[in-house]
Amino acid sequence: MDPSVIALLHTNDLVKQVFSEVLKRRRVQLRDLRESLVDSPQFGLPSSGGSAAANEGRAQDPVVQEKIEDAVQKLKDAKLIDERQAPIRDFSTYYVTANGLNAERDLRLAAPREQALLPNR
Amino acid sequence: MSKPYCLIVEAPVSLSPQGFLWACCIAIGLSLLIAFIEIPTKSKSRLRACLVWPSVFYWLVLSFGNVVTTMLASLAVVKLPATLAPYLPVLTPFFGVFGFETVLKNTNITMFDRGVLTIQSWIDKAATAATAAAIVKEEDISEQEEQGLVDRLKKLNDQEINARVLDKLGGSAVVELEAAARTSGADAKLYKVFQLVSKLNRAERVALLRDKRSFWRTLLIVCVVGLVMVVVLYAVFQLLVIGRRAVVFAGSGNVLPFLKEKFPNLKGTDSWVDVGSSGALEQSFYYSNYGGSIGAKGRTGFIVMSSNGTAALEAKFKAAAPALQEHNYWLSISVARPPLAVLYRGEFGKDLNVHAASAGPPAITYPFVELADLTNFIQNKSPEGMKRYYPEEGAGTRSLLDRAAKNPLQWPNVDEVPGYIEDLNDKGSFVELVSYPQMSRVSKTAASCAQLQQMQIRGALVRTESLESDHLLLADYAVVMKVARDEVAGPDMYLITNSAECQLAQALAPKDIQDCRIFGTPVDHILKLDVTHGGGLESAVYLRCVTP
Repeated sequence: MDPSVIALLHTNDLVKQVFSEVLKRRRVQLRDLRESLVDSPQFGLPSSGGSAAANEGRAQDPVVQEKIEDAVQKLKDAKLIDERQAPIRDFSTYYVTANGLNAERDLRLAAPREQALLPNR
Repeated sequence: MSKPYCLIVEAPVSLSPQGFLWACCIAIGLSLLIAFIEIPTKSKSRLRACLVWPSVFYWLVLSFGNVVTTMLASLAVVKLPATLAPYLPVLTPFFGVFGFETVLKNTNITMFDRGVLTIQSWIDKAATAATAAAIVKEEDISEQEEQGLVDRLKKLNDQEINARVLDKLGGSAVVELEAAARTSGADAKLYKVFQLVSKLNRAERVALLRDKRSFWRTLLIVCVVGLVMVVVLYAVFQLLVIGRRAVVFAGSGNVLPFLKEKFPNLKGTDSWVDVGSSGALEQSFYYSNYGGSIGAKGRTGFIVMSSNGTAALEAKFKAAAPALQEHNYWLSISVARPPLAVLYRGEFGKDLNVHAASAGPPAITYPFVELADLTNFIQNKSPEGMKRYYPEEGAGTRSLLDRAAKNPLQWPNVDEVPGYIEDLNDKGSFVELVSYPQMSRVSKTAASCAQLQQMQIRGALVRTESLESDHLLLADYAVVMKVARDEVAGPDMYLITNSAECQLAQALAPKDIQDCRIFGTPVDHILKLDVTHGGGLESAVYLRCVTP
């Protein structure tokens, strides 16, 4: 596996989390991705307590949107995920590629079981 | 229940070529099943999305591994009990697939830090490629479906769309969605449609997408699946039913039930030509263009059963022109030497001059008649009203007696020989010569002592003046088939070219026949194998309780 990919996944927690989410679901719409990651500590927002409506509102936050789209772009550049574009960006779908599945396997093999990097559950 | 009939032939616990083919097919089928469980699970896609070329490659890799381990397992199953022999085509792939899934699939062998046999890695790569392709295909299918839904919903007017949004997403959804669309500069109607589509469950999606084409598509799928099933059933029918007719048995009605008893799974015995041993051996001389086309693909097997060895074939061969001898080779396997018995009912034991003799160990008392007394009885002393079931001309038993008596006997006209002992249940007097007294059509075993007693049938073995084999006159059960010279393999190598013939020959003589090949020096073009263990006084258990 490309060392830069390993570095990317080890150094950037948000990228790692986005990748974990796509891996877990295999395919996910951008809108759902934002909603599932909005509670992440990387955004520095207080936890909403898990209410769906509140999460949906926070997911519209431009900061959250920008950070997640940036992470998604990095994963796309590393060819770990791919995108199917929709006329409205929120409904674009991201799905894991063969490279992404290989990365999952390689990183799992490299890490001890209890500290497995991916997926991050 | 009689003891094993003076022989020795026990079917080895091994896979026949056809059984091996079945085992491989089952292993490949199991591989397909495993592939179609694993790929949808790993890709979280529907089965339809998994029908992609990388899945086929993954199946091929799995199949290759599973077939190899099934081949290895086929070598190990010989240690299983013989009673499991009929199930080996299923058990072998089971062990093979189990071995592959648990051992080989988790094997990575490295040498100097370089992978040399990284089976786990190969399988993982194939699985990953199939999973990734299934995910992409699933995306394509979803996109098509969603596009179809969007196109359908876009045709609705705003009121209808708003009503659906209210129903699906709640009271304030319309206002919120329109506001969000305005903020982003998006088409509000399209945005609401996308939201609506994303909230539809599977049943609602199917209901919206259903149209007339679905019916024809379903009909087409049903037709294709039906056609595939018909083809598969036809193939199975070919293999199980028509395949069984690929061999014809001809010859002795004594040897046939003996073989059926020893080999309950023997196929093709329903294609039996009831002809005397000598006649069957003669047919074997002519068969397959005097051996010239013995290697023809798809030829029907021809197995001759003789109760008097190959004497008739040897005589035929010696009298034939050299051109007819040239390509004619046979394999003869002597499988048993049961004693000839006289079975009778009625008070003419005195005419037969029946005595009792002891032999052993183990100690056994048996009734017998001298050959001279028997031949005298046959030619001169048969009482009136007694049915005489003597062997017909050309039968091995008649030849056996003719040969033992040094001169051919003057055989009287005879009644038709009953097929089974149970046919003799009319209480009338009779005499019969037989070496394998099969009880009934259902029972493949020789009649037991108790059954004979119940039917008031007595019996005696035939003793000669010879000092060999307890003086008993023994039949020679031979199974004869044609072979071809295998000059490529060696000067003294011979090949059984029909798989059904080979299967039987290997079951009879597993130590002598490997891969349908036999090594040996033929006499009069006949290779002879002997898998009997001498003569068979011990086999005549059906006479032990019958006193003179």
